[in-house]
Amino acid sequence: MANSDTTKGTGRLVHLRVKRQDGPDLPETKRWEEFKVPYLPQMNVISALQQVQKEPRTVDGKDVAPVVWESSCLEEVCGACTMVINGRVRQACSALVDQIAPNGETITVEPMTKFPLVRDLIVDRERMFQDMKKVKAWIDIDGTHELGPGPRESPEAQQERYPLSRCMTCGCCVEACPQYNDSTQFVGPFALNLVRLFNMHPSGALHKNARLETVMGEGGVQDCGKAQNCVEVCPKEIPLVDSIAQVSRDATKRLLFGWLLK
Amino acid sequence: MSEAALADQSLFAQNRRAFLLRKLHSLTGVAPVGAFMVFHLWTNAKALQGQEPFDKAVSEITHTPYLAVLEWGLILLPLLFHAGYGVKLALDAKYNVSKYKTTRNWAFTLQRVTGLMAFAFIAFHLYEYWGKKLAGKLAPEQFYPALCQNMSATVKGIPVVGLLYVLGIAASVFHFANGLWGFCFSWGVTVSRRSQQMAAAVFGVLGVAIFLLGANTAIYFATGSSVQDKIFGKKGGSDARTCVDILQQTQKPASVGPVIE
Repeated sequence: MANSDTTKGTGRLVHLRVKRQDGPDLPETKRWEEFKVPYLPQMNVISALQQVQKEPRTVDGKDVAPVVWESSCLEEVCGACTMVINGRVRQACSALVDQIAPNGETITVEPMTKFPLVRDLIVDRERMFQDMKKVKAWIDIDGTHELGPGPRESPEAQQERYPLSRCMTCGCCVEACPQYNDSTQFVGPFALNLVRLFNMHPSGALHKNARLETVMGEGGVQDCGKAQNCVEVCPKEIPLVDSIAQVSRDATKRLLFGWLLK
Repeated sequence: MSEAALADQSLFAQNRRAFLLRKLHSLTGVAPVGAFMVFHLWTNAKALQGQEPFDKAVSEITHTPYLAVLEWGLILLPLLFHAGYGVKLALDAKYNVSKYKTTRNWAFTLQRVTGLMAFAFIAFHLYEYWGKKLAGKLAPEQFYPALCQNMSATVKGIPVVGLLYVLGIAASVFHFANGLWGFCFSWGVTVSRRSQQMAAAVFGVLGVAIFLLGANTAIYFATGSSVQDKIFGKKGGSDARTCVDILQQTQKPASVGPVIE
């Protein structure tokens, strides 16, 4: 950054505008609060929020309760700090202040909108875990007896599967998806990607049809509206649209021909 | 669910209701509803040759055996289902194109907007011609003069109904072309991103062509000459009665068809 101060104490401030709410059942406490915190080198939105936590005082000079948020790994692999930053869903840890506000622009920070709010920037992503259960996003090995070595996997198949396995259940895809909302039971792009992932796995493929059947039920693959926002916002660059298209194809084949064969 | 239980899944299993309905919605949009629209716009284009060829085409259709069965079974019921279920789909979405401004998100939003527009337009259009025909207020041979007068009627110099038709055709055709793209995606025809982009280009060109086909007829009824006449000049030779003749005959447009003053 040519015009940015990278030393501490030079007076450069980071301007945050945070959407807050005190609790799940307190919609009347919904409000925006603005904070100005001292700039630190290599700062990201998490460290800016940490500065707010140190001295939670708004720009109007009002002392307030510290802003709460979730974060864990700080290297964009856990998905815990997913929030809506400047109107776009992403991880707060990889939202670098130098990149998103190089000239001291206001950074707006909001919680995700598709999940029940817990407080401030924390939401409850339980629905995603229910979605994973719904689509049987696992490989059945009950551990009661020796199964021997698993089937061999070709490097080609491994190369294709690896990108699909990078999902961290962060919620970006479903936050951006217009079809994932309270009116639908849509399981979401990430869950459909997991169906493809586990159906490609040599052992997982043993339950391919059971998984396909789950996405042919209520909230299944048919609820995809093809807006393709998911693939645009996925921080792990998972080919989500390819996965949805593949699962769609498999489900269609099963619908059209499954009953003819058995 | 065990694998044995899965084998018993019939085509119409209870838990597949949503999937089947959505597939049926997608299918009815392409055929018969979409296919009928293309056929309809093609038949309408005979109007450019004057009233006699148009009346002949209309007469052929009205004298088709089992017309009522075809009308209800192949057009109206599929259309009603497609429209009704489509409204539910349009209301289910949580639009966010102002935040995520990608081409496909625009297409997603427009697909639902144009669907609702097409619904309103087709309801109006059916009332104006099919409804009046059924009620005995409009004989098939009165279609042509009614269309000429109705669509060329102006409010402050603007052919409002004609414009409404061009807009309605535009919405319907966009919905059809983008719907074909969506059909290919959800039925598993275009799986790769590259094939989806190619499909978008092909259906884009097809959509423009169908729109021009439909809009040209509406422009002809509204102004008395088609786009090609306006560009290349009117070619003589045909004796068929045209809109210009009809409008000249009836200086006071009151004899047939609704008129907007």
